Amino acid sequence: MARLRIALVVVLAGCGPSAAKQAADASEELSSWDSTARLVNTAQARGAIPAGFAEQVRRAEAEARAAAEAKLRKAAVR
Amino acid sequence: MSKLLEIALGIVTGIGGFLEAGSLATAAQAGATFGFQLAWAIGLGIICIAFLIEMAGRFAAVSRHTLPDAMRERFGIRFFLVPLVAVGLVSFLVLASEIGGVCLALQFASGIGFQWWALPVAALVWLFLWKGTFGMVEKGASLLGLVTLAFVVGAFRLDPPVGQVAARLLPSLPQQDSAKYWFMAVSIIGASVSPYLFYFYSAGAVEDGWDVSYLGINRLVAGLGMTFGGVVAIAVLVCAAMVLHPLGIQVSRYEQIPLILVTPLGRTGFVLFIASLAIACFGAALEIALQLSYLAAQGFGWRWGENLRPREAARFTLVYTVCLPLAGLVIVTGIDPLKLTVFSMALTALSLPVTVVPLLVLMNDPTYLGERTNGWLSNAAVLAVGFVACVVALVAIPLQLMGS
Repeated sequence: MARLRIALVVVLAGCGPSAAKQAADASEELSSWDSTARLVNTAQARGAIPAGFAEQVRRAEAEARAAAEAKLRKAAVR
Repeated sequence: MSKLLEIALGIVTGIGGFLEAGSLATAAQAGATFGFQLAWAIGLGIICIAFLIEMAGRFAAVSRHTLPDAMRERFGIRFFLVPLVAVGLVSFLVLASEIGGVCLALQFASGIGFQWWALPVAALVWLFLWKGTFGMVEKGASLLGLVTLAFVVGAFRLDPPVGQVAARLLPSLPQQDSAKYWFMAVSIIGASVSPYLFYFYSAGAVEDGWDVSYLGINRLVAGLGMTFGGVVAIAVLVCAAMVLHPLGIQVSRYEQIPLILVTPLGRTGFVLFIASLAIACFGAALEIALQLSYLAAQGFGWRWGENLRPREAARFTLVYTVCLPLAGLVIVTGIDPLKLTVFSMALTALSLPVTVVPLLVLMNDPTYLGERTNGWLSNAAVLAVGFVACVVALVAIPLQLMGS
Protein backbone atom coordinates (compact mmCIF):
# COMPACT_ATOMS: atom_id res chain seq x y z
CA MET A 1 0.00 0.00 0.00
CA ALA A 2 2.83 2.37 0.98
CA ARG A 3 4.64 1.54 -2.29
CA LEU A 4 1.48 2.29 -4.23
CA ARG A 5 1.16 5.66 -2.49
CA ILE A 6 4.79 6.55 -3.30
CA ALA A 7 4.31 5.53 -6.93
CA LEU A 8 1.18 7.68 -7.17
CA VAL A 9 2.98 10.73 -5.76
CA VAL A 10 5.86 10.23 -8.21
CA VAL A 11 3.48 9.89 -11.17
CA LEU A 12 1.44 12.94 -10.14
CA ALA A 13 4.56 15.02 -9.55
CA GLY A 14 5.83 14.03 -12.98
CA CYS A 15 2.55 15.02 -14.62
CA GLY A 16 2.23 18.34 -12.76
CA PRO A 17 2.92 21.57 -14.59
CA SER A 18 6.52 22.76 -14.66
CA ALA A 19 7.45 26.09 -13.05
CA ALA A 20 8.00 27.56 -16.51
CA LYS A 21 4.56 26.45 -17.68
CA GLN A 22 2.96 27.82 -14.53
CA ALA A 23 4.71 31.16 -15.00
CA ALA A 24 3.72 31.30 -18.67
CA ASP A 25 0.06 30.58 -17.77
CA ALA A 26 0.09 33.28 -15.09
CA SER A 27 1.61 35.85 -17.47
CA GLU A 28 -1.01 34.98 -20.08
CA GLU A 29 -3.72 35.44 -17.46
CA LEU A 30 -2.36 38.88 -16.51
CA SER A 31 -2.14 39.98 -20.12
CA SER A 32 -5.69 38.67 -20.72
CA TRP A 33 -6.94 40.87 -17.87
CA ASP A 34 -5.04 43.90 -19.27
CA SER A 35 -7.00 43.49 -22.49
CA THR A 36 -10.25 42.87 -20.59
CA ALA A 37 -9.74 46.13 -18.67
CA ARG A 38 -9.20 48.06 -21.92
CA LEU A 39 -12.32 46.52 -23.50
CA VAL A 40 -14.42 47.30 -20.41
CA ASN A 41 -13.17 50.90 -20.31
CA THR A 42 -14.05 51.37 -23.98
CA ALA A 43 -17.50 49.80 -23.50
CA GLN A 44 -18.17 51.97 -20.46
CA ALA A 45 -17.00 55.12 -22.27
CA ARG A 46 -19.52 54.53 -25.08
CA GLY A 47 -22.28 53.76 -22.57
CA ALA A 48 -22.60 50.11 -23.61
CA ILE A 49 -22.35 48.78 -20.04
CA PRO A 50 -23.58 50.27 -16.78
CA ALA A 51 -21.04 51.55 -14.26
CA GLY A 52 -22.14 48.89 -11.74
CA PHE A 53 -21.23 46.07 -14.11
CA ALA A 54 -17.91 47.69 -15.03
CA GLU A 55 -17.15 47.78 -11.30
CA GLN A 56 -17.97 44.05 -11.01
CA VAL A 57 -15.54 43.24 -13.83
CA ARG A 58 -12.84 45.33 -12.11
CA ARG A 59 -13.39 43.42 -8.86
CA ALA A 60 -13.12 40.11 -10.73
CA GLU A 61 -9.97 41.46 -12.41
CA ALA A 62 -8.40 42.35 -9.05
CA GLU A 63 -9.10 38.84 -7.68
CA ALA A 64 -7.80 37.12 -10.81
CA ARG A 65 -4.68 39.31 -10.86
CA ALA A 66 -3.93 38.50 -7.22
CA ALA A 67 -4.25 34.76 -7.98
CA ALA A 68 -2.05 35.02 -11.09
CA GLU A 69 0.61 37.01 -9.25
CA ALA A 70 0.63 34.42 -6.45
CA LYS A 71 1.16 31.73 -9.12
CA LEU A 72 4.05 33.73 -10.57
CA ARG A 73 5.70 34.03 -7.14
CA LYS A 74 5.20 30.30 -6.53
CA ALA A 75 6.75 29.48 -9.90
CA ALA A 76 9.72 31.73 -9.16
CA VAL A 77 10.35 29.91 -5.86
CA ARG A 78 10.25 26.52 -7.61
CA MET B 1 -52.42 21.18 -39.30
CA SER B 2 -52.05 20.40 -35.61
CA LYS B 3 -49.12 18.07 -36.41
CA LEU B 4 -47.46 20.83 -38.43
CA LEU B 5 -47.93 23.12 -35.47
CA GLU B 6 -46.39 20.50 -33.19
CA ILE B 7 -43.38 20.17 -35.49
CA ALA B 8 -42.92 23.94 -35.60
CA LEU B 9 -43.32 24.22 -31.84
CA GLY B 10 -40.93 21.32 -31.29
CA ILE B 11 -38.26 22.89 -33.48
CA VAL B 12 -38.74 26.30 -31.89
CA THR B 13 -38.43 24.80 -28.39
CA GLY B 14 -35.34 22.91 -29.57
CA ILE B 15 -33.77 26.23 -30.56
CA GLY B 16 -34.93 28.13 -27.49
CA GLY B 17 -34.00 25.34 -25.09
CA PHE B 18 -30.57 24.46 -26.47
CA LEU B 19 -28.44 27.09 -24.80
CA GLU B 20 -27.83 26.81 -21.06
CA ALA B 21 -24.99 27.56 -18.62
CA GLY B 22 -22.81 24.72 -19.92
CA SER B 23 -23.08 25.32 -23.65
CA LEU B 24 -22.75 29.09 -23.18
CA ALA B 25 -19.68 28.93 -20.91
CA THR B 26 -17.84 26.22 -22.84
CA ALA B 27 -18.48 27.82 -26.25
CA ALA B 28 -17.37 31.25 -24.97
CA GLN B 29 -14.20 29.83 -23.40
CA ALA B 30 -13.38 27.82 -26.49
CA GLY B 31 -13.93 30.76 -28.85
CA ALA B 32 -11.84 33.11 -26.71
CA THR B 33 -8.93 30.69 -26.33
CA PHE B 34 -8.84 28.83 -29.64
CA GLY B 35 -10.80 31.05 -32.05
CA PHE B 36 -12.99 28.98 -34.39
CA GLN B 37 -10.84 25.85 -33.95
CA LEU B 38 -13.22 24.01 -31.62
CA ALA B 39 -16.38 24.55 -33.72
CA TRP B 40 -16.12 20.85 -34.65
CA ALA B 41 -16.75 19.83 -31.02
CA ILE B 42 -20.09 21.64 -31.05
CA GLY B 43 -20.92 20.01 -34.41
CA LEU B 44 -20.04 16.56 -33.07
CA GLY B 45 -22.11 17.17 -29.94
CA ILE B 46 -25.09 18.25 -32.04
CA ILE B 47 -24.94 15.12 -34.21
CA CYS B 48 -24.72 12.91 -31.14
CA ILE B 49 -27.54 14.60 -29.21
CA ALA B 50 -29.79 14.64 -32.30
CA PHE B 51 -29.38 10.84 -32.58
CA LEU B 52 -29.97 10.37 -28.83
CA ILE B 53 -33.05 12.61 -28.75
CA GLU B 54 -34.50 10.79 -31.76
CA MET B 55 -33.86 7.44 -30.04
CA ALA B 56 -35.39 8.56 -26.75
CA GLY B 57 -38.51 9.84 -28.51
CA ARG B 58 -38.81 6.72 -30.70
CA PHE B 59 -38.42 4.47 -27.68
CA ALA B 60 -41.16 6.31 -25.78
CA ALA B 61 -43.52 6.44 -28.77
CA VAL B 62 -43.15 2.76 -29.73
CA SER B 63 -42.75 1.03 -26.36
CA ARG B 64 -44.73 3.54 -24.22
CA HIS B 65 -41.99 3.04 -21.62
CA THR B 66 -39.79 5.72 -20.13
CA LEU B 67 -36.03 5.04 -20.22
CA PRO B 68 -35.45 4.50 -16.45
CA ASP B 69 -38.49 2.27 -16.19
CA ALA B 70 -37.32 0.12 -19.12
CA MET B 71 -33.72 0.01 -17.82
CA ARG B 72 -34.83 -1.31 -14.46
CA GLU B 73 -37.10 -3.87 -16.16
CA ARG B 74 -34.47 -4.97 -18.70
CA PHE B 75 -31.31 -5.02 -16.54
CA GLY B 76 -32.65 -5.42 -13.01
CA ILE B 77 -32.56 -3.01 -10.11
CA ARG B 78 -28.88 -3.64 -9.25
CA PHE B 79 -27.60 -2.67 -12.66
CA PHE B 80 -30.08 0.19 -12.91
CA LEU B 81 -28.46 1.77 -9.84
CA VAL B 82 -25.28 2.44 -11.89
CA PRO B 83 -26.86 4.78 -14.49
CA LEU B 84 -29.17 6.12 -11.77
CA VAL B 85 -26.23 7.25 -9.63
CA ALA B 86 -24.15 8.49 -12.61
CA VAL B 87 -26.97 10.45 -14.25
CA GLY B 88 -28.24 11.62 -10.86
CA LEU B 89 -24.86 12.98 -9.73
CA VAL B 90 -24.00 14.64 -13.02
CA SER B 91 -27.50 16.14 -13.31
CA PHE B 92 -27.28 17.45 -9.75
CA LEU B 93 -24.00 19.26 -10.53
CA VAL B 94 -25.45 20.64 -13.75
CA LEU B 95 -28.53 21.79 -11.79
CA ALA B 96 -26.25 23.69 -9.41
CA SER B 97 -24.48 25.25 -12.43
CA GLU B 98 -27.78 26.38 -13.93
CA ILE B 99 -28.88 27.94 -10.64
CA GLY B 100 -25.45 29.61 -10.57
CA GLY B 101 -26.08 30.96 -14.09
CA VAL B 102 -29.38 32.57 -13.08
CA CYS B 103 -27.71 34.01 -9.96
CA LEU B 104 -24.90 35.51 -12.04
CA ALA B 105 -27.40 37.15 -14.39
CA LEU B 106 -29.07 38.68 -11.34
CA GLN B 107 -25.68 39.77 -9.99
CA PHE B 108 -24.80 41.47 -13.30
CA ALA B 109 -28.14 43.30 -13.27
CA SER B 110 -28.25 44.26 -9.59
CA GLY B 111 -24.68 44.28 -8.29
CA ILE B 112 -25.69 41.96 -5.41
CA GLY B 113 -23.35 38.95 -5.15
CA PHE B 114 -24.52 35.73 -6.82
CA GLN B 115 -24.43 33.69 -3.59
CA TRP B 116 -27.28 35.79 -2.15
CA TRP B 117 -29.56 34.84 -5.02
CA ALA B 118 -29.00 31.07 -4.85
CA LEU B 119 -31.72 30.07 -2.39
CA PRO B 120 -34.36 32.52 -3.71
CA VAL B 121 -33.71 31.22 -7.25
CA ALA B 122 -33.94 27.60 -6.07
CA ALA B 123 -37.23 28.48 -4.32
CA LEU B 124 -38.56 30.12 -7.49
CA VAL B 125 -37.71 27.06 -9.59
CA TRP B 126 -39.44 24.89 -6.98
CA LEU B 127 -42.53 27.14 -7.04
CA PHE B 128 -42.76 26.88 -10.84
CA LEU B 129 -42.55 23.09 -10.64
CA TRP B 130 -45.02 22.88 -7.77
CA LYS B 131 -47.63 25.10 -9.45
CA GLY B 132 -46.83 24.55 -13.13
CA THR B 133 -47.69 21.92 -15.71
CA PHE B 134 -45.42 19.94 -18.01
CA GLY B 135 -46.39 22.10 -20.99
CA MET B 136 -45.44 25.24 -19.12
CA VAL B 137 -42.03 23.86 -18.19
CA GLU B 138 -41.29 22.39 -21.62
CA LYS B 139 -42.72 24.96 -24.01
CA GLY B 140 -42.90 28.12 -21.89
CA ALA B 141 -39.26 28.26 -20.85
CA SER B 142 -38.03 27.23 -24.30
CA LEU B 143 -40.15 29.85 -26.10
CA LEU B 144 -38.77 32.55 -23.81
CA GLY B 145 -35.35 31.05 -24.50
CA LEU B 146 -35.62 32.31 -28.08
CA VAL B 147 -34.01 35.46 -26.68
CA THR B 148 -30.73 33.53 -27.03
CA LEU B 149 -31.02 34.14 -30.79
CA ALA B 150 -29.39 37.46 -29.86
CA PHE B 151 -26.06 35.60 -30.14
CA VAL B 152 -26.85 34.75 -33.78
CA VAL B 153 -27.63 38.41 -34.47
CA GLY B 154 -24.43 39.41 -32.65
CA ALA B 155 -22.38 36.93 -34.68
CA PHE B 156 -23.77 38.31 -37.96
CA ARG B 157 -23.07 41.88 -36.88
CA LEU B 158 -19.42 40.90 -36.32
CA ASP B 159 -19.21 39.72 -39.94
CA PRO B 160 -17.18 36.53 -39.33
CA PRO B 161 -15.25 34.75 -42.11
CA VAL B 162 -17.92 32.12 -42.83
CA GLY B 163 -15.55 29.92 -44.86
CA GLN B 164 -13.08 29.70 -41.97
CA VAL B 165 -15.84 28.86 -39.48
CA ALA B 166 -17.19 26.16 -41.81
CA ALA B 167 -13.69 24.71 -42.29
CA ARG B 168 -13.34 24.39 -38.49
CA LEU B 169 -16.38 22.10 -38.36
CA LEU B 170 -13.90 19.36 -39.28
CA PRO B 171 -11.80 18.17 -36.31
CA SER B 172 -8.23 19.42 -36.14
CA LEU B 173 -5.29 18.93 -33.80
CA PRO B 174 -4.29 21.72 -31.39
CA GLN B 175 -1.37 23.97 -32.27
CA GLN B 176 -0.67 24.79 -28.61
CA ASP B 177 -1.80 23.85 -25.09
CA SER B 178 -3.09 20.35 -25.94
CA ALA B 179 -4.38 19.58 -22.41
CA LYS B 180 -6.58 22.69 -22.38
CA TYR B 181 -7.72 22.07 -25.96
CA TRP B 182 -8.90 18.52 -25.29
CA PHE B 183 -10.40 19.45 -21.93
CA MET B 184 -12.46 22.15 -23.66
CA ALA B 185 -13.42 19.77 -26.47
CA VAL B 186 -14.84 17.22 -24.00
CA SER B 187 -16.53 19.95 -21.97
CA ILE B 188 -18.28 21.18 -25.13
CA ILE B 189 -19.36 17.64 -26.04
CA GLY B 190 -20.52 17.07 -22.44
CA ALA B 191 -22.54 20.30 -22.57
CA SER B 192 -24.24 19.24 -25.81
CA VAL B 193 -24.86 15.62 -24.85
CA SER B 194 -26.14 16.12 -21.29
CA PRO B 195 -28.10 12.98 -20.35
CA TYR B 196 -30.83 15.11 -18.79
CA LEU B 197 -31.79 16.23 -22.32
CA PHE B 198 -32.77 12.80 -23.62
CA TYR B 199 -34.14 11.47 -20.33
CA PHE B 200 -36.32 14.59 -20.06
CA TYR B 201 -37.39 14.28 -23.71
CA SER B 202 -38.36 10.63 -23.24
CA ALA B 203 -40.36 11.39 -20.09
CA GLY B 204 -42.06 14.27 -21.92
CA ALA B 205 -43.02 12.02 -24.83
CA VAL B 206 -44.70 9.56 -22.43
CA GLU B 207 -46.28 12.44 -20.47
CA ASP B 208 -47.69 13.82 -23.78
CA GLY B 209 -49.01 10.35 -24.74
CA TRP B 210 -46.94 9.84 -27.91
CA ASP B 211 -47.58 6.79 -30.09
CA VAL B 212 -46.11 5.55 -33.39
CA SER B 213 -47.90 8.31 -35.31
CA TYR B 214 -45.43 10.72 -33.69
CA LEU B 215 -42.32 9.07 -35.14
CA GLY B 216 -42.10 11.50 -38.07
CA ILE B 217 -42.56 14.51 -35.80
CA ASN B 218 -39.96 13.07 -33.45
CA ARG B 219 -37.40 12.69 -36.22
CA LEU B 220 -37.94 16.22 -37.53
CA VAL B 221 -37.91 17.79 -34.08
CA ALA B 222 -34.76 15.92 -33.06
CA GLY B 223 -32.90 16.65 -36.31
CA LEU B 224 -33.94 20.23 -37.01
CA GLY B 225 -34.50 21.41 -33.43
CA MET B 226 -31.05 20.28 -32.30
CA THR B 227 -29.31 21.50 -35.46
CA PHE B 228 -30.81 24.98 -35.26
CA GLY B 229 -30.25 24.98 -31.49
CA GLY B 230 -26.62 24.12 -32.10
CA VAL B 231 -26.34 27.13 -34.39
CA VAL B 232 -26.93 29.31 -31.32
CA ALA B 233 -24.02 27.61 -29.51
CA ILE B 234 -21.81 28.09 -32.59
CA ALA B 235 -22.87 31.76 -32.64
CA VAL B 236 -21.60 32.12 -29.04
CA LEU B 237 -18.27 30.60 -30.09
CA VAL B 238 -18.10 32.91 -33.12
CA CYS B 239 -18.85 36.02 -30.98
CA ALA B 240 -16.12 35.04 -28.50
CA ALA B 241 -13.68 34.20 -31.32
CA MET B 242 -14.31 37.57 -33.02
CA VAL B 243 -14.33 39.77 -29.90
CA LEU B 244 -12.07 38.16 -27.29
CA HIS B 245 -9.63 35.95 -29.22
CA PRO B 246 -7.92 38.73 -31.23
CA LEU B 247 -7.30 40.67 -27.97
CA GLY B 248 -5.80 37.63 -26.26
CA ILE B 249 -8.59 37.56 -23.66
CA GLN B 250 -9.13 34.14 -22.09
CA VAL B 251 -12.40 33.61 -20.25
CA SER B 252 -11.50 32.76 -16.67
CA ARG B 253 -14.47 34.53 -15.07
CA TYR B 254 -18.13 34.77 -16.08
CA GLU B 255 -17.86 38.58 -15.87
CA GLN B 256 -15.87 38.55 -19.14
CA ILE B 257 -18.53 36.75 -21.18
CA PRO B 258 -21.14 39.58 -21.57
CA LEU B 259 -18.50 41.53 -23.53
CA ILE B 260 -19.02 39.20 -26.49
CA LEU B 261 -22.51 40.65 -27.04
CA VAL B 262 -21.73 44.17 -25.81
CA THR B 263 -19.18 44.71 -28.59
CA PRO B 264 -21.53 44.01 -31.52
CA LEU B 265 -24.84 45.17 -29.98
CA GLY B 266 -23.90 47.83 -27.42
CA ARG B 267 -26.15 48.41 -24.39
CA THR B 268 -28.90 46.27 -25.99
CA GLY B 269 -26.38 43.44 -26.15
CA PHE B 270 -25.71 43.75 -22.43
CA VAL B 271 -29.43 43.56 -21.62
CA LEU B 272 -29.95 40.67 -24.04
CA PHE B 273 -27.00 38.80 -22.54
CA ILE B 274 -28.45 39.05 -19.03
CA ALA B 275 -31.90 38.02 -20.29
CA SER B 276 -30.41 35.09 -22.25
CA LEU B 277 -28.34 33.84 -19.31
CA ALA B 278 -31.22 34.16 -16.83
CA ILE B 279 -33.92 32.61 -19.01
CA ALA B 280 -31.77 29.85 -20.53
CA CYS B 281 -30.42 28.76 -17.14
CA PHE B 282 -33.80 29.05 -15.42
CA GLY B 283 -35.42 26.92 -18.13
CA ALA B 284 -32.64 24.34 -17.87
CA ALA B 285 -32.92 24.31 -14.05
CA LEU B 286 -36.65 23.56 -14.35
CA GLU B 287 -35.99 20.70 -16.77
CA ILE B 288 -33.10 19.19 -14.78
CA ALA B 289 -34.91 19.32 -11.44
CA LEU B 290 -37.89 17.67 -13.08
CA GLN B 291 -35.67 15.09 -14.77
CA LEU B 292 -34.13 14.13 -11.40
CA SER B 293 -37.66 13.46 -10.16
CA TYR B 294 -38.53 11.49 -13.31
CA LEU B 295 -35.36 9.44 -12.99
CA ALA B 296 -36.03 8.38 -9.40
CA ALA B 297 -39.79 7.94 -9.74
CA GLN B 298 -39.71 6.04 -13.04
CA GLY B 299 -36.77 3.93 -11.93
CA PHE B 300 -38.33 2.88 -8.64
CA GLY B 301 -41.85 2.57 -10.03
CA TRP B 302 -43.40 5.45 -8.07
CA ARG B 303 -46.35 7.45 -9.31
CA TRP B 304 -45.05 10.34 -11.40
CA GLY B 305 -46.15 13.24 -13.59
CA GLU B 306 -45.73 17.00 -13.64
CA ASN B 307 -49.38 17.31 -14.62
CA LEU B 308 -50.48 15.55 -11.40
CA ARG B 309 -51.05 17.53 -8.23
CA PRO B 310 -48.08 17.32 -5.84
CA ARG B 311 -50.02 15.26 -3.32
CA GLU B 312 -50.97 12.75 -6.04
CA ALA B 313 -47.27 12.06 -6.75
CA ALA B 314 -45.74 12.83 -3.37
CA ARG B 315 -42.40 10.97 -3.72
CA PHE B 316 -41.90 12.36 -7.23
CA THR B 317 -42.45 15.87 -5.86
CA LEU B 318 -40.21 15.17 -2.86
CA VAL B 319 -37.18 14.51 -5.11
CA TYR B 320 -37.11 18.00 -6.66
CA THR B 321 -38.13 19.52 -3.33
CA VAL B 322 -34.95 18.06 -1.78
CA CYS B 323 -32.60 18.51 -4.76
CA LEU B 324 -33.31 22.19 -5.41
CA PRO B 325 -32.29 23.65 -2.04
CA LEU B 326 -29.25 21.34 -1.96
CA ALA B 327 -28.16 22.57 -5.40
CA GLY B 328 -28.78 26.13 -4.22
CA LEU B 329 -26.53 25.48 -1.22
CA VAL B 330 -23.67 24.47 -3.54
CA ILE B 331 -23.82 28.01 -5.00
CA VAL B 332 -24.20 29.61 -1.54
CA THR B 333 -20.73 28.25 -0.68
CA GLY B 334 -19.33 30.77 -3.20
CA ILE B 335 -17.86 28.13 -5.51
CA ASP B 336 -16.77 29.68 -8.84
CA PRO B 337 -19.82 29.08 -11.10
CA LEU B 338 -17.68 29.01 -14.26
CA LYS B 339 -15.36 26.30 -12.92
CA LEU B 340 -18.32 24.32 -11.57
CA THR B 341 -20.05 24.53 -14.95
CA VAL B 342 -17.06 23.53 -17.04
CA PHE B 343 -16.09 20.62 -14.76
CA SER B 344 -19.71 19.40 -14.63
CA MET B 345 -19.67 19.31 -18.42
CA ALA B 346 -16.39 17.38 -18.52
CA LEU B 347 -17.79 14.89 -15.97
CA THR B 348 -20.87 14.54 -18.14
CA ALA B 349 -18.62 13.51 -21.02
CA LEU B 350 -16.81 11.09 -18.72
CA SER B 351 -20.08 9.44 -17.70
CA LEU B 352 -21.38 9.06 -21.26
CA PRO B 353 -20.73 5.30 -21.65
CA VAL B 354 -22.67 4.58 -18.46
CA THR B 355 -25.62 6.63 -19.63
CA VAL B 356 -25.53 5.85 -23.32
CA VAL B 357 -24.70 2.12 -23.52
CA PRO B 358 -27.81 0.94 -21.61
CA LEU B 359 -29.89 3.16 -23.89
CA LEU B 360 -28.29 1.58 -26.95
CA VAL B 361 -28.99 -1.93 -25.62
CA LEU B 362 -32.65 -0.98 -25.17
CA MET B 363 -32.77 0.63 -28.62
CA ASN B 364 -31.62 -2.65 -30.19
CA ASP B 365 -34.10 -4.82 -28.26
CA PRO B 366 -37.05 -5.92 -30.45
CA THR B 367 -39.05 -6.74 -27.30
CA TYR B 368 -39.50 -3.01 -26.83
CA LEU B 369 -39.19 -1.66 -30.35
CA GLY B 370 -40.35 -4.47 -32.65
CA GLU B 371 -39.16 -3.59 -36.15
CA ARG B 372 -38.16 -0.09 -35.14
CA THR B 373 -34.85 -0.94 -33.52
CA ASN B 374 -31.73 1.13 -34.26
CA GLY B 375 -29.87 1.05 -37.54
CA TRP B 376 -26.09 0.63 -37.65
CA LEU B 377 -25.52 4.32 -38.32
CA SER B 378 -27.15 5.60 -35.13
CA ASN B 379 -25.47 2.85 -33.06
CA ALA B 380 -22.05 3.61 -34.51
CA ALA B 381 -22.37 7.42 -34.26
CA VAL B 382 -23.47 7.46 -30.63
CA LEU B 383 -21.06 4.73 -29.50
CA ALA B 384 -18.09 6.39 -31.20
CA VAL B 385 -18.76 9.87 -29.82
CA GLY B 386 -19.57 8.52 -26.33
CA PHE B 387 -16.42 6.42 -26.03
CA VAL B 388 -14.05 8.94 -27.61
CA ALA B 389 -15.40 11.71 -25.35
CA CYS B 390 -15.05 9.46 -22.30
CA VAL B 391 -11.46 8.42 -23.10
CA VAL B 392 -10.39 12.00 -23.85
CA ALA B 393 -12.10 13.18 -20.64
CA LEU B 394 -10.30 10.47 -18.68
CA VAL B 395 -6.97 11.90 -19.84
CA ALA B 396 -7.84 15.61 -20.03
CA ILE B 397 -9.58 16.07 -16.65
CA PRO B 398 -6.59 15.05 -14.44
CA LEU B 399 -4.19 17.04 -16.65
CA GLN B 400 -6.38 20.12 -16.42
CA LEU B 401 -6.81 19.68 -12.66
CA MET B 402 -3.05 19.49 -12.18
CA GLY B 403 -2.50 22.40 -14.58
CA SER B 404 -4.84 24.64 -12.59
